[in-house]
Amino acid sequence: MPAAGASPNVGTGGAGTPPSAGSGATETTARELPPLDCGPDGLVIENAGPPKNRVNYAIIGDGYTKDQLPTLKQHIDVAMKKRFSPVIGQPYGRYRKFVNICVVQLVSENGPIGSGATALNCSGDDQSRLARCDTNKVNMELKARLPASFEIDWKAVVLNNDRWWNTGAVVMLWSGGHKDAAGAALHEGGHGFHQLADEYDGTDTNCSREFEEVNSTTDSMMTAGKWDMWLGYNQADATGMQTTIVGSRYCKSGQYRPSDNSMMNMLFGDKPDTAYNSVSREKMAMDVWRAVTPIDETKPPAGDAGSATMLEVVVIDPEVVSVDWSVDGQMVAAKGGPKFDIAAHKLAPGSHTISAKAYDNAGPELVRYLTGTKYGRMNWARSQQTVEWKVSVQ
Amino acid sequence: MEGVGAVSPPARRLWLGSAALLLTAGISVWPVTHEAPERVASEHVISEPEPAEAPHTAHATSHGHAPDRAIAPAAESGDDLHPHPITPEHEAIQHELRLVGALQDALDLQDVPALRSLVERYRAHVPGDENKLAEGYARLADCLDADARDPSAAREAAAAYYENERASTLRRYIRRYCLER
Repeated sequence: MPAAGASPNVGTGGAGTPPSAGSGATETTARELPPLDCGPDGLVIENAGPPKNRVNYAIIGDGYTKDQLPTLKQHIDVAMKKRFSPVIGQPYGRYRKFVNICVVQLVSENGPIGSGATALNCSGDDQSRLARCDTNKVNMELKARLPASFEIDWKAVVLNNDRWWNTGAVVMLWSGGHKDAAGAALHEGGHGFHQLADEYDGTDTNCSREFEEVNSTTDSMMTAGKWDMWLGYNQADATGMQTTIVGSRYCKSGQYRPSDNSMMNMLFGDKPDTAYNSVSREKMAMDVWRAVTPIDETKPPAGDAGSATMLEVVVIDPEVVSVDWSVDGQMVAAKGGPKFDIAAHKLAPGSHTISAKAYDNAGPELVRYLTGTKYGRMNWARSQQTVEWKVSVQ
Repeated sequence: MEGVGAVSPPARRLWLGSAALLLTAGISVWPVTHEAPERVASEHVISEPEPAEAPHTAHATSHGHAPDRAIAPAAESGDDLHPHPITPEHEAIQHELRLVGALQDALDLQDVPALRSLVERYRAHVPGDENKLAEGYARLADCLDADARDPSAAREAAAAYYENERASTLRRYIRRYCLER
């Protein structure tokens, strides 16, 4: 059973990770994390773990006066609620412990947007529905206000504004006060952080080319290798059948999308079919693994462990990362948990090699392209990590 | 050819302009595949014609603004939920994100020739490089280049980038491929 709050399709632990009874492996205990440093003006939204082995998401506000900072927090809370909602928020829910989130509470002289000059000069207009900010100022403020330890992977500006002004780019912009703001943040992040295409039609005429975005294709039969492995899969709790549906990437014909609706199509409201479809979810998982590896540390350090009696791999999230334990090349505890009690295995006296293979336990409901040279698929290899100890048993 | 013969003079100019851009784009792609014809790694290099290869428009870069990508209008607006103006700015940001995706793939494959080619294309497209991506990927290419003449200089430049460009999304990879390598 997936953990509460998880999408049945994706789950927080895939097939589940109960330690094998009698295997000598031990139960997982809640992990104490050191505080996350988001800087003097920072608000810790998600402390997932050490920034060096986490995706680090930096959000900075614009158009919030000092008195309006509680509004910034409200806007963030709304966005986070949807980000981690059971279906629409996947796979961010599954990989929640993989992503740190800091909000920089930048104070503007005026607020909301439109009532005078603001710190990042953000603006927008109803005709284009675009948000715009001064990118140089955004980067300058992030540099000044976040600690060096927070290696930014994704960056965004939330505007104190209730208009429908949003921008999906390297710096993602969303208007925090709009009633569908949380969806906008997810949709625009799909562009800016995951290079996903819009999955709706429009008036574009440049429709016969196979573009690079993984979630739109000209090839209605084989998807040009983009999602042929997903064809016929029913993402039952969310976007339904994964297929090829004409109308995508602003083209009424010539471009196909993977599902009837999705987060990258019509994001409004909270219907399950506004979730990311399977193609997008898989790309997002690859993007997470691009930044991190499963193991934070090993206890004792890998290598010669002398006469240690307990071995441990500290993984990012034991619900997502399973560990298989082997002794002298023979697996003794599949999905055995992060700890290994050597004494419980009653090994013969002498030297033994014990290895732990940590890996993302996602099943084919989330990941199907385990190798590749495009769309970040080469990063699935980073989701597996093996460490080895030499131990001496008396 | 009915369509071509029927185009209006402005449309014809657009068509001819597009053809010229297609030709230019084809030339720009050629060195990548030509230099490393055997490399599987080069498969990821984006190869579409580049109507948006031109630099970002003034409002997107010269004014230091993030470029545009509109999404569907608010549901209550009464408009069609999906019409989306296809503007030069919109094309520009799409193109930038495609380049970013290709750069990421090239880095993950440690494909130095592809990285260098893409850096040049990114630089041409985003001359302001506000997010310091061209500079960062150039540093990474230098670090990964097995034929580099001065690896210590590459590492030094990478260390300076890591220290100074704290808002860059490439610091993690600078650390991974340059500083901890």
